[in-house]
Amino acid sequence: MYIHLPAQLSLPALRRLSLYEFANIAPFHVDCRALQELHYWDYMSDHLPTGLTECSITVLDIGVPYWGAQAPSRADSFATIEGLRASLEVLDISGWGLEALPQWFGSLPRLHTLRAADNKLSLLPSLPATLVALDLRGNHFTEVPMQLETFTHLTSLMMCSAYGNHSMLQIRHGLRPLIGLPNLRLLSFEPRAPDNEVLYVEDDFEAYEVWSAKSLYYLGQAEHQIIASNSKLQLKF
Amino acid sequence: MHHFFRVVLPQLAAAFEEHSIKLEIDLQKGVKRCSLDATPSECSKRKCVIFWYNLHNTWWVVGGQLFFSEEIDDEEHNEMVDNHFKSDYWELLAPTLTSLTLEFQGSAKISQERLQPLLFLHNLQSLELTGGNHFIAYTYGSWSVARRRKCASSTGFPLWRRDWRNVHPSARAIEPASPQETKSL
Repeated sequence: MYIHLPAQLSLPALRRLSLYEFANIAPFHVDCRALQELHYWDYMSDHLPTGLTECSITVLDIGVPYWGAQAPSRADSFATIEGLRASLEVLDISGWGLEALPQWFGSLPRLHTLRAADNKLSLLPSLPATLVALDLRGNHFTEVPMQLETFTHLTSLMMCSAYGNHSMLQIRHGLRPLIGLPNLRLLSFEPRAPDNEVLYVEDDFEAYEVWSAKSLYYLGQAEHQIIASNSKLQLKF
Repeated sequence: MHHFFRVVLPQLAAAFEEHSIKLEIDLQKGVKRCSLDATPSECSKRKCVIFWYNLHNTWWVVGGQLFFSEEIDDEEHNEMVDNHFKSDYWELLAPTLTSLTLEFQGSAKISQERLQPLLFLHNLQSLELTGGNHFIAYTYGSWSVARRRKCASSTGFPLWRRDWRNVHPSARAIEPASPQETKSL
Protein backbone atom coordinates (compact mmCIF):
# COMPACT_ATOMS: atom_id res chain seq x y z
CA MET A 1 0.00 0.00 0.00
CA TYR A 2 1.33 3.36 -1.04
CA ILE A 3 1.11 6.23 1.43
CA HIS A 4 1.85 9.85 0.92
CA LEU A 5 2.23 11.79 4.15
CA PRO A 6 2.30 15.56 4.25
CA ALA A 7 5.61 16.59 2.70
CA GLN A 8 6.52 18.33 5.95
CA LEU A 9 5.14 16.45 8.92
CA SER A 10 4.98 19.17 11.55
CA LEU A 11 3.59 17.86 14.81
CA PRO A 12 5.19 19.69 17.71
CA ALA A 13 4.06 17.28 20.42
CA LEU A 14 4.76 14.05 18.55
CA ARG A 15 7.01 11.73 20.51
CA ARG A 16 6.38 8.43 18.78
CA LEU A 17 5.96 7.80 15.06
CA SER A 18 5.29 4.37 13.68
CA LEU A 19 4.93 3.55 9.99
CA TYR A 20 4.57 -0.12 9.32
CA GLU A 21 3.90 -2.39 6.43
CA PHE A 22 3.49 0.07 3.66
CA ALA A 23 4.75 -0.88 0.27
CA ASN A 24 5.99 2.52 -0.70
CA ILE A 25 6.17 5.50 1.62
CA ALA A 26 6.65 8.71 -0.30
CA PRO A 27 9.61 10.80 0.88
CA PHE A 28 8.71 13.27 3.62
CA HIS A 29 10.45 15.55 6.06
CA VAL A 30 9.98 15.18 9.79
CA ASP A 31 9.62 18.43 11.66
CA CYS A 32 8.87 17.01 15.08
CA ARG A 33 11.41 18.27 17.57
CA ALA A 34 9.91 16.20 20.41
CA LEU A 35 10.18 12.95 18.46
CA GLN A 36 11.85 10.26 20.53
CA GLU A 37 10.85 7.03 18.80
CA LEU A 38 10.71 6.09 15.15
CA HIS A 39 9.45 2.70 14.05
CA TYR A 40 9.68 2.41 10.31
CA TRP A 41 9.21 -0.47 7.93
CA ASP A 42 8.56 -0.10 4.26
CA TYR A 43 8.51 -3.11 1.96
CA MET A 44 9.63 -1.33 -1.15
CA SER A 45 11.45 1.92 -0.69
CA ASP A 46 14.94 2.35 0.63
CA HIS A 47 14.76 5.81 2.14
CA LEU A 48 14.14 7.11 5.63
CA PRO A 49 12.36 10.38 6.35
CA THR A 50 14.63 13.39 6.31
CA GLY A 51 15.05 15.68 9.29
CA LEU A 52 15.51 12.87 11.82
CA THR A 53 18.83 14.19 13.02
CA GLU A 54 17.08 17.39 14.13
CA CYS A 55 15.09 15.33 16.63
CA SER A 56 16.24 13.78 19.87
CA ILE A 57 15.51 10.22 18.91
CA THR A 58 16.33 7.60 21.49
CA VAL A 59 14.63 4.62 19.82
CA LEU A 60 15.35 4.02 16.15
CA ASP A 61 13.63 0.89 14.93
CA ILE A 62 14.42 0.51 11.26
CA GLY A 63 15.02 -3.20 11.12
CA VAL A 64 13.25 -5.35 8.57
CA PRO A 65 11.99 -8.90 9.03
CA TYR A 66 14.27 -11.75 8.11
CA TRP A 67 11.79 -13.15 5.61
CA GLY A 68 12.50 -10.39 3.22
CA ALA A 69 11.83 -6.73 2.73
CA GLN A 70 13.69 -3.76 1.40
CA ALA A 71 16.28 -2.52 3.86
CA PRO A 72 16.87 1.21 4.04
CA SER A 73 19.80 2.59 2.12
CA ARG A 74 22.88 1.82 4.18
CA ALA A 75 24.68 5.04 3.44
CA ASP A 76 21.72 7.26 4.30
CA SER A 77 20.73 5.22 7.32
CA PHE A 78 24.22 5.07 8.77
CA ALA A 79 24.46 8.83 8.28
CA THR A 80 21.19 9.18 10.21
CA ILE A 81 22.39 6.88 12.97
CA GLU A 82 25.65 8.75 13.24
CA GLY A 83 23.73 12.02 13.35
CA LEU A 84 21.78 10.68 16.31
CA ARG A 85 24.79 9.33 18.15
CA ALA A 86 24.35 11.67 21.11
CA SER A 87 20.81 10.53 21.89
CA LEU A 88 20.40 7.02 20.53
CA GLU A 89 19.65 4.37 23.15
CA VAL A 90 17.82 1.60 21.29
CA LEU A 91 18.65 0.62 17.72
CA ASP A 92 17.20 -2.08 15.49
CA ILE A 93 19.05 -2.67 12.23
CA SER A 94 17.97 -6.25 11.72
CA GLY A 95 17.66 -7.73 8.28
CA TRP A 96 19.95 -5.32 6.47
CA GLY A 97 22.34 -8.01 5.21
CA LEU A 98 25.28 -6.28 6.88
CA GLU A 99 28.64 -8.03 6.93
CA ALA A 100 30.17 -5.41 9.23
CA LEU A 101 29.24 -2.32 11.20
CA PRO A 102 31.05 1.00 11.06
CA GLN A 103 33.81 1.39 13.61
CA TRP A 104 32.05 4.37 15.22
CA PHE A 105 29.29 2.08 16.50
CA GLY A 106 31.67 1.36 19.36
CA SER A 107 31.45 4.93 20.52
CA LEU A 108 27.70 5.50 20.56
CA PRO A 109 27.61 6.91 24.07
CA ARG A 110 24.06 6.08 25.15
CA LEU A 111 23.30 2.94 23.15
CA HIS A 112 22.16 0.17 25.49
CA THR A 113 20.04 -2.06 23.23
CA LEU A 114 21.13 -3.23 19.82
CA ARG A 115 19.15 -5.56 17.64
CA ALA A 116 21.26 -6.59 14.68
CA ALA A 117 19.64 -9.93 13.93
CA ASP A 118 19.47 -11.46 10.46
CA ASN A 119 22.55 -9.84 9.06
CA LYS A 120 25.74 -11.49 7.82
CA LEU A 121 28.02 -10.64 10.68
CA SER A 122 30.69 -13.26 11.30
CA LEU A 123 32.98 -11.20 13.52
CA LEU A 124 31.89 -9.15 16.49
CA PRO A 125 31.83 -5.52 15.40
CA SER A 126 33.00 -2.66 17.54
CA LEU A 127 30.21 -2.11 20.06
CA PRO A 128 29.78 0.09 23.13
CA ALA A 129 31.01 -1.70 26.23
CA THR A 130 27.93 -0.45 28.06
CA LEU A 131 25.47 -2.53 26.01
CA VAL A 132 22.72 -4.08 28.10
CA ALA A 133 20.85 -6.09 25.49
CA LEU A 134 22.27 -7.55 22.31
CA ASP A 135 20.43 -9.57 19.68
CA LEU A 136 22.70 -11.21 17.13
CA ARG A 137 20.39 -14.01 16.08
CA GLY A 138 20.51 -15.21 12.52
CA ASN A 139 23.99 -13.96 11.69
CA HIS A 140 26.98 -15.86 10.32
CA PHE A 141 28.89 -16.43 13.54
CA THR A 142 30.40 -19.88 13.77
CA GLU A 143 31.14 -19.52 17.46
CA VAL A 144 30.34 -17.25 20.37
CA PRO A 145 32.82 -14.36 20.17
CA MET A 146 35.05 -14.33 23.23
CA GLN A 147 35.03 -10.53 23.23
CA LEU A 148 31.47 -10.70 24.56
CA GLU A 149 32.93 -11.80 27.88
CA THR A 150 34.04 -8.22 28.43
CA PHE A 151 30.53 -6.76 28.16
CA THR A 152 29.87 -6.66 31.87
CA HIS A 153 26.62 -4.69 31.62
CA LEU A 154 24.87 -7.26 29.46
CA THR A 155 21.60 -8.57 30.82
CA SER A 156 20.41 -10.25 27.64
CA LEU A 157 22.36 -11.92 24.84
CA MET A 158 20.72 -13.77 21.98
CA MET A 159 22.47 -15.67 19.21
CA CYS A 160 21.50 -18.40 16.81
CA SER A 161 22.44 -19.66 13.38
CA ALA A 162 21.30 -17.99 10.22
CA TYR A 163 17.95 -19.09 8.91
CA GLY A 164 18.36 -22.20 6.79
CA ASN A 165 21.67 -23.24 8.31
CA HIS A 166 20.95 -24.51 11.77
CA SER A 167 24.42 -25.88 12.46
CA MET A 168 26.43 -22.77 11.65
CA LEU A 169 26.74 -21.56 15.22
CA GLN A 170 28.52 -23.94 17.57
CA ILE A 171 29.86 -23.62 21.09
CA ARG A 172 33.58 -24.12 20.75
CA HIS A 173 34.78 -23.22 24.22
CA GLY A 174 33.53 -23.21 27.78
CA LEU A 175 30.85 -20.66 28.61
CA ARG A 176 31.92 -20.03 32.18
CA PRO A 177 33.25 -16.49 31.54
CA LEU A 178 30.03 -15.57 29.77
CA ILE A 179 27.64 -17.01 32.34
CA GLY A 180 29.76 -15.35 34.99
CA LEU A 181 28.89 -11.90 33.70
CA PRO A 182 27.44 -10.17 36.75
CA ASN A 183 24.24 -8.82 35.19
CA LEU A 184 23.43 -11.45 32.58
CA ARG A 185 19.88 -12.84 33.01
CA LEU A 186 19.23 -14.33 29.59
CA LEU A 187 21.63 -16.23 27.40
CA SER A 188 19.73 -17.65 24.46
CA PHE A 189 20.95 -19.77 21.59
CA GLU A 190 17.42 -20.66 20.57
CA PRO A 191 16.13 -19.93 17.11
CA ARG A 192 13.05 -17.82 16.80
CA ALA A 193 10.04 -19.39 18.42
CA PRO A 194 7.29 -19.92 15.87
CA ASP A 195 4.61 -19.52 18.51
CA ASN A 196 5.74 -16.04 19.35
CA GLU A 197 6.71 -14.71 16.01
CA VAL A 198 4.61 -14.51 12.96
CA LEU A 199 5.66 -16.99 10.34
CA TYR A 200 3.85 -17.70 7.17
CA VAL A 201 6.05 -20.68 6.55
CA GLU A 202 5.16 -22.13 9.91
CA ASP A 203 4.93 -25.70 8.72
CA ASP A 204 8.38 -25.58 7.22
CA PHE A 205 10.05 -23.77 10.05
CA GLU A 206 12.73 -25.75 11.80
CA ALA A 207 12.75 -24.33 15.30
CA TYR A 208 15.92 -25.98 16.50
CA GLU A 209 19.64 -25.67 16.28
CA VAL A 210 21.79 -28.63 15.29
CA TRP A 211 24.44 -28.85 17.94
CA SER A 212 27.66 -30.83 17.70
CA ALA A 213 28.56 -33.19 20.52
CA LYS A 214 31.17 -30.71 21.70
CA SER A 215 28.63 -27.90 21.76
CA LEU A 216 26.24 -30.01 23.78
CA TYR A 217 29.03 -30.82 26.23
CA TYR A 218 29.73 -27.12 26.80
CA LEU A 219 26.04 -26.27 27.04
CA GLY A 220 25.48 -29.06 29.55
CA GLN A 221 28.49 -27.93 31.50
CA ALA A 222 27.11 -24.38 31.53
CA GLU A 223 23.75 -25.61 32.81
CA HIS A 224 25.49 -27.43 35.61
CA GLN A 225 27.53 -24.35 36.52
CA ILE A 226 24.43 -22.17 36.58
CA ILE A 227 22.60 -24.55 38.90
CA ALA A 228 25.62 -25.04 41.12
CA SER A 229 26.07 -21.32 41.55
CA ASN A 230 22.38 -20.57 42.20
CA SER A 231 22.58 -18.08 39.37
CA LYS A 232 19.41 -16.41 38.09
CA LEU A 233 20.70 -16.70 34.57
CA GLN A 234 18.32 -18.32 32.10
CA LEU A 235 20.15 -20.43 29.51
CA LYS A 236 18.18 -21.43 26.44
CA PHE A 237 19.32 -23.65 23.61
CA MET B 1 -21.52 14.38 21.46
CA HIS B 2 -22.76 11.15 19.99
CA HIS B 3 -21.59 9.92 16.65
CA PHE B 4 -22.57 6.78 14.88
CA PHE B 5 -20.31 4.86 12.59
CA ARG B 6 -21.07 1.70 10.81
CA VAL B 7 -18.17 -0.68 10.93
CA VAL B 8 -17.63 -3.74 8.87
CA LEU B 9 -14.89 -6.00 10.01
CA PRO B 10 -12.87 -8.22 7.74
CA GLN B 11 -14.47 -11.52 7.15
CA LEU B 12 -13.07 -14.58 8.73
CA ALA B 13 -11.56 -16.65 6.00
CA ALA B 14 -12.99 -19.88 7.31
CA ALA B 15 -16.59 -18.79 7.56
CA PHE B 16 -16.64 -15.79 5.27
CA GLU B 17 -19.12 -14.22 7.58
CA GLU B 18 -19.71 -10.55 7.77
CA HIS B 19 -19.78 -8.90 11.13
CA SER B 20 -21.05 -5.45 11.60
CA ILE B 21 -20.83 -3.44 14.75
CA LYS B 22 -22.64 -0.25 15.52
CA LEU B 23 -20.89 1.90 17.98
CA GLU B 24 -22.27 4.92 19.75
CA ILE B 25 -19.23 6.87 20.71
CA ASP B 26 -19.18 9.47 23.39
CA LEU B 27 -15.88 11.16 22.86
CA GLN B 28 -15.65 12.04 26.51
CA LYS B 29 -16.48 8.64 27.91
CA GLY B 30 -15.59 6.23 25.16
CA VAL B 31 -18.04 3.72 23.76
CA LYS B 32 -21.46 4.07 25.31
CA ARG B 33 -23.35 1.36 23.56
CA CYS B 34 -22.61 -1.23 20.97
CA SER B 35 -24.33 -4.05 19.22
CA LEU B 36 -22.93 -6.87 17.17
CA ASP B 37 -24.74 -8.45 14.27
CA ALA B 38 -23.45 -11.27 12.16
CA THR B 39 -24.99 -12.05 8.82
CA PRO B 40 -23.86 -14.42 6.12
CA SER B 41 -21.60 -12.87 3.59
CA GLU B 42 -23.04 -12.19 0.19
CA CYS B 43 -19.75 -11.88 -1.53
CA SER B 44 -16.35 -13.24 -0.67
CA LYS B 45 -14.61 -10.54 -2.70
CA ARG B 46 -15.48 -7.73 -0.36
CA LYS B 47 -12.80 -5.42 0.79
CA CYS B 48 -13.02 -3.05 3.65
CA VAL B 49 -11.21 -0.18 5.21
CA ILE B 50 -11.23 0.14 8.95
CA PHE B 51 -10.03 2.98 11.06
CA TRP B 52 -8.98 2.56 14.64
CA TYR B 53 -8.00 5.17 17.09
CA ASN B 54 -6.58 5.11 20.54
CA LEU B 55 -8.26 7.39 23.03
CA HIS B 56 -7.24 7.33 26.65
CA ASN B 57 -5.15 4.23 26.01
CA THR B 58 -8.07 2.28 24.66
CA TRP B 59 -8.44 1.13 21.10
CA TRP B 60 -11.72 1.77 19.37
CA VAL B 61 -13.04 1.20 15.92
CA VAL B 62 -14.25 4.49 14.57
CA GLY B 63 -15.16 3.90 11.01
CA GLY B 64 -15.22 1.55 8.14
CA GLN B 65 -16.34 1.07 4.60
CA LEU B 66 -17.39 -1.97 2.70
CA PHE B 67 -16.38 -2.28 -0.91
CA PHE B 68 -17.39 -4.69 -3.59
CA SER B 69 -14.23 -5.09 -5.56
CA GLU B 70 -15.97 -5.98 -8.78
CA GLU B 71 -18.31 -3.00 -8.60
CA ILE B 72 -16.08 -0.17 -7.57
CA ASP B 73 -13.15 1.07 -9.54
CA ASP B 74 -10.16 2.70 -7.95
CA GLU B 75 -11.49 6.21 -8.39
CA GLU B 76 -14.71 5.51 -6.55
CA HIS B 77 -12.83 3.57 -3.95
CA ASN B 78 -10.52 6.47 -3.28
CA GLU B 79 -13.43 8.86 -3.16
CA MET B 80 -15.08 6.86 -0.42
CA VAL B 81 -11.90 6.89 1.59
CA ASP B 82 -11.62 10.61 0.98
CA ASN B 83 -15.06 11.13 2.42
CA HIS B 84 -13.99 9.48 5.59
CA PHE B 85 -11.02 11.69 6.03
CA LYS B 86 -13.04 14.76 5.26
CA SER B 87 -15.57 13.92 7.94
CA ASP B 88 -15.57 16.09 11.00
CA TYR B 89 -14.36 13.63 13.56
CA TRP B 90 -10.82 14.72 12.92
CA GLU B 91 -11.68 18.16 14.19
CA LEU B 92 -13.66 16.81 17.09
CA LEU B 93 -10.74 14.72 18.22
CA ALA B 94 -8.06 17.25 17.60
CA PRO B 95 -8.16 19.18 20.89
CA THR B 96 -7.70 16.15 23.08
CA LEU B 97 -6.27 13.44 20.92
CA THR B 98 -2.80 12.39 21.98
CA SER B 99 -2.57 9.01 20.33
CA LEU B 100 -3.85 7.97 16.94
CA THR B 101 -3.61 4.66 15.16
CA LEU B 102 -4.92 4.08 11.69
CA GLU B 103 -4.83 0.73 10.02
CA PHE B 104 -5.37 0.83 6.31
CA GLN B 105 -6.70 -2.24 4.63
CA GLY B 106 -7.49 -2.78 1.01
CA SER B 107 -5.68 -1.46 -1.99
CA ALA B 108 -6.22 2.27 -1.66
CA LYS B 109 -3.40 4.67 -2.23
CA ILE B 110 -3.33 6.97 0.74
CA SER B 111 -2.79 10.37 -0.75
CA GLN B 112 -1.24 13.43 0.81
CA GLU B 113 -4.59 15.18 0.77
CA ARG B 114 -6.22 12.50 2.86
CA LEU B 115 -3.59 12.71 5.53
CA GLN B 116 -3.44 16.48 5.63
CA PRO B 117 -5.80 16.60 8.65
CA LEU B 118 -3.04 15.00 10.68
CA LEU B 119 -1.43 18.40 10.85
CA PHE B 120 -4.36 19.71 12.88
CA LEU B 121 -3.68 17.26 15.68
CA HIS B 122 -1.46 19.59 17.60
CA ASN B 123 -1.45 17.54 20.78
CA LEU B 124 -0.67 14.28 19.06
CA GLN B 125 2.11 12.45 20.85
CA SER B 126 1.88 9.06 19.18
CA LEU B 127 1.05 8.36 15.56
CA GLU B 128 0.90 4.85 14.21
CA LEU B 129 0.01 4.20 10.59
CA THR B 130 -0.11 0.64 9.39
CA GLY B 131 -0.77 -0.75 5.96
CA GLY B 132 0.24 -4.13 4.77
CA ASN B 133 -2.77 -6.35 4.69
CA HIS B 134 -3.22 -5.87 1.01
CA PHE B 135 0.36 -6.80 0.41
CA ILE B 136 0.06 -9.84 2.58
CA ALA B 137 -3.16 -10.87 0.95
CA TYR B 138 -1.58 -10.38 -2.45
CA THR B 139 1.41 -12.45 -1.49
CA TYR B 140 -0.30 -15.20 0.35
CA GLY B 141 -3.68 -15.07 -1.22
CA SER B 142 -5.83 -15.09 1.85
CA TRP B 143 -7.42 -12.70 4.25
CA SER B 144 -6.92 -15.29 6.93
CA VAL B 145 -3.26 -14.42 7.19
CA ALA B 146 -2.78 -12.50 10.36
CA ARG B 147 -1.07 -9.18 10.51
CA ARG B 148 2.55 -9.15 11.45
CA ARG B 149 2.99 -6.83 14.33
CA LYS B 150 5.99 -5.83 16.31
CA CYS B 151 5.39 -6.09 20.05
CA ALA B 152 7.39 -5.63 23.16
CA SER B 153 8.74 -8.73 24.83
CA SER B 154 10.14 -9.47 28.23
CA THR B 155 13.62 -9.73 26.78
CA GLY B 156 13.64 -6.13 25.65
CA PHE B 157 13.58 -7.14 22.03
CA PRO B 158 10.50 -6.89 19.85
CA LEU B 159 8.71 -9.96 18.71
CA TRP B 160 6.69 -10.36 15.58
CA ARG B 161 3.25 -11.41 16.64
CA ARG B 162 0.01 -12.25 15.00
CA ASP B 163 -2.49 -9.50 15.36
CA TRP B 164 -5.56 -11.06 16.92
CA ARG B 165 -7.72 -8.21 15.72
CA ASN B 166 -7.61 -9.66 12.29
CA VAL B 167 -7.74 -13.24 13.44
CA HIS B 168 -10.80 -13.01 15.63
CA PRO B 169 -12.39 -9.65 14.93
CA SER B 170 -15.83 -10.60 16.10
CA ALA B 171 -14.55 -11.62 19.48
CA ARG B 172 -12.03 -8.90 20.12
CA ALA B 173 -13.02 -5.92 18.06
CA ILE B 174 -14.39 -3.75 20.84
CA GLU B 175 -12.25 -5.12 23.60
CA PRO B 176 -9.48 -2.79 24.74
CA ALA B 177 -6.10 -4.22 24.05
CA SER B 178 -3.90 -4.87 27.03
CA PRO B 179 -1.03 -2.46 27.56
CA GLN B 180 1.39 -5.21 26.67
CA GLU B 181 -0.36 -5.85 23.38
CA THR B 182 -0.64 -2.25 22.43
CA LYS B 183 2.84 -1.23 23.40
CA SER B 184 5.10 -1.51 20.43
CA LEU B 185 8.79 -1.14 20.38
